[in-house]
Amino acid sequence: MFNYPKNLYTDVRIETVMTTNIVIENDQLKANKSKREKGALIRIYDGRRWYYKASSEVEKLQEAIDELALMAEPNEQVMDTPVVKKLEVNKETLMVFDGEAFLNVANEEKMALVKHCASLIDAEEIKMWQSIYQDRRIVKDFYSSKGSELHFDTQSYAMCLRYVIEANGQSHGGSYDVMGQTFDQLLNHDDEYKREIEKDIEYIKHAVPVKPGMYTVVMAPSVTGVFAHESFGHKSESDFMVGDETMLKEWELGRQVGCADLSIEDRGDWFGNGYVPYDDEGTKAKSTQIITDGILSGRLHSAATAAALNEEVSGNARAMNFQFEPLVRMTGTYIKPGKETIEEVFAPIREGVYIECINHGSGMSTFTIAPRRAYMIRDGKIAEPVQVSVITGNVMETLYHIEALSAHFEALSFALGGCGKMEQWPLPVAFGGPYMRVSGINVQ
Amino acid sequence: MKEKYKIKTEEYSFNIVQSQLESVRCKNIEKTGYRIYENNFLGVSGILGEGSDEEGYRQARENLKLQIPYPFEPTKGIKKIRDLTSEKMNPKQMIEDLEAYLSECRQLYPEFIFSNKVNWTVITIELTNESGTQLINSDQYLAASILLKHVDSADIFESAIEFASRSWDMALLRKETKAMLTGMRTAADLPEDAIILTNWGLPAQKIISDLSGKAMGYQTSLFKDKMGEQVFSPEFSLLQTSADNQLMAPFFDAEGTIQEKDMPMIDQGRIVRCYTDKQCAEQFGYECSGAADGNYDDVPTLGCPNLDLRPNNKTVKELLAGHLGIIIVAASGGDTSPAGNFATPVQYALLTDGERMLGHLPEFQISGSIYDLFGKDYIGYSSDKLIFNQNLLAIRAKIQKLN
Repeated sequence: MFNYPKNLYTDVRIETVMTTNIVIENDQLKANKSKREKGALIRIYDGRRWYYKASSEVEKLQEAIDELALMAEPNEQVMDTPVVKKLEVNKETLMVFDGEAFLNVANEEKMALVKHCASLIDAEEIKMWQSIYQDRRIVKDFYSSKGSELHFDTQSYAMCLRYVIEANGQSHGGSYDVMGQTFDQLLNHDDEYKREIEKDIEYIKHAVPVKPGMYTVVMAPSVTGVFAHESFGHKSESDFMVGDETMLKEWELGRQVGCADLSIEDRGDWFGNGYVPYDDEGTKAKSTQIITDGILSGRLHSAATAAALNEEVSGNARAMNFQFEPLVRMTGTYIKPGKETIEEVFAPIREGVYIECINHGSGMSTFTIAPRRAYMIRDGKIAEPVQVSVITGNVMETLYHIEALSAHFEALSFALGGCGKMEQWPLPVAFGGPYMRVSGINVQ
Repeated sequence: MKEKYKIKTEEYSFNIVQSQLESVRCKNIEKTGYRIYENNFLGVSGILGEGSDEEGYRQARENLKLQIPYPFEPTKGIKKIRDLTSEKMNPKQMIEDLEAYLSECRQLYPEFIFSNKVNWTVITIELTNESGTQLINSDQYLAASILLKHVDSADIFESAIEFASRSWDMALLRKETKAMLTGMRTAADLPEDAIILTNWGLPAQKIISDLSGKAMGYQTSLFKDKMGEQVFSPEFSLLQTSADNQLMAPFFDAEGTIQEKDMPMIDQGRIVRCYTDKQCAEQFGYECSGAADGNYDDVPTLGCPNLDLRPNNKTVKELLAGHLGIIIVAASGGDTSPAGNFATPVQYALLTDGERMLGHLPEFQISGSIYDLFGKDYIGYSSDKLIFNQNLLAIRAKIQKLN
């Protein structure tokens, strides 16, 4: 395929991306765009440093490889370096999705769906809204000087309503998304859209500011999923640990880091936004048990971090698109379900807060979640709606404060957003979890 | 009528791992959007990389069939070129500079680990059309985002050297590094009575989002009934600006609307304007501020323009007036409620007397109503750049210790 430079490791990732974006905003057509883009990222390693070049000139990749190689220092031993040794050699064509069907959904059908969903918005309290359709099909080709040759696809469809409700002199943003791997999976969700809109309107009409304080909180599955992602998922990305003795000691495998019922897993073979059959350096998707029964049991790796920590690659080297190099990123991350019924999760709480859905979350040593809808819990039952700016907690303490996990479990993906790390945002990811009861959460 | 909107990005990105230069990324991407105006519709298409204008316009004409309404005139007969670039950098020199800097850091600050990025970016945006318009804005900037952690810390990172500069300014990088590391080396107690010093955007997100012409026009803004009213402190003025001293603020927007001078949104505490594109201005009867945005191949839509505060002609030291100041370095996860109550945890902050960094503080939370933070609790916007190579907002807020 390419003439790889001698005494250097080289790989080339070519991405062909087909997307559609249709937006109707307050009855005005704002966008109806279908496009196909192609670009590539070249990586060269000389045993000391990586060199990358992002290019949209896919017909001139050989020239780009040769030019980039001039920056590196040829190294006869490069293929024996620990990093290159960790890189998997895989050859496979893995076209899981029906690319023809993707191309065959007519723009008129997509537009009809956007208009239909727009017609579901008829409440006078909704002042501003968007009905948004997005689909995305990515075909990736990956070649390396070690011998990898991969050809695979990922695909997603999304239909989203975004709206701003005005009531009692205040505005409140609401949304509901449906994701799928086929166009048909977006159809027939009217009841869900209507239910969410009604809930949001009721919420903003009646929500009062919460009395700030420390509460026991129940998180809905989507919130639990974001908590898992933000609070611990990022800490399992091992590029933060490389060469750092303190971090390695703190995150030593086998150490207890949470309550005995807590297990967190990351896997790239889930369908949804975290589907990554091969990562962006050609490693096949794997399942990583990050926490097992409260014990730290694994972490996420690229070849470089696996080599540095003498562990195995996990299929988590991911880039936002061809313009970026892969970093260690999550794929589909979730807290495993427990045994309790949803009622049992709520039952022991005399006064607490239920977080039903969120606007955003973040996590360092302290995690934060900004709820979109929150309710008081009184005597084990969901009670009046409350306005909450943020809930916060110390990650390492909170993992021990998990009191209950429901057997009910939900897996989700954000249709239009994704995960951010440094300059790369948004990267599609999936997440999930059960209903989760946690004590000692600071609610503001 | 044909119009072309081109964005060319050249970038070198230097990644630091464990206080060593780990990788170099080169990027040279050209994106061209093609637009056909016809019968109050706009047809658009785009080409990534090299391509023929003929094909781009052919596809844009084809896309007129999608009937996206756009009953607005293109910008006519204006030619203006602004080139704010000066240095032509070569990667070899930049690698040498950063290796020398990192070598110094390893010697001077051995108890800290440096990581993440220093980027050098040159962007040229060009809008040309058959009505005689040619607008070109070229700019360049160094963006440092160097994460810092103590070798004994179990956190992913604690603090960061974050700033942007129009020149490849290694002296500034060293000055910023010294200021941050001086603060990081000493632990300080959280004072009970101190003034918050921060990037102005942190507590102002709600103000920014609710000054959108759409939010005002559709009556979802917190300020929907407050146009023309004195809402905030007379010391507080918020401007849409593309002045030469602003980084990456082209003098024209995605529709080719030119901003000749600073445009106040909030003038001495009074809300006087909202930001708009052509559509929003016409629909709601506002002045068009030139805030159209979008990808290179989109129909332009309302975005958020470059905004800044009007400095108050006082240095940080003068704004503190003898009080201690708390410089917020890292604060993620905060939000503002629909009623305008802002709260955020502050993960990392430095204590200062307005000149020196006196130490770093334990985690805490700040909160307050935006009407107070930019009203009775507003102190000013500094004229000097004590840290982050930017002016600092000085406000009073409720400070609450965490944990």
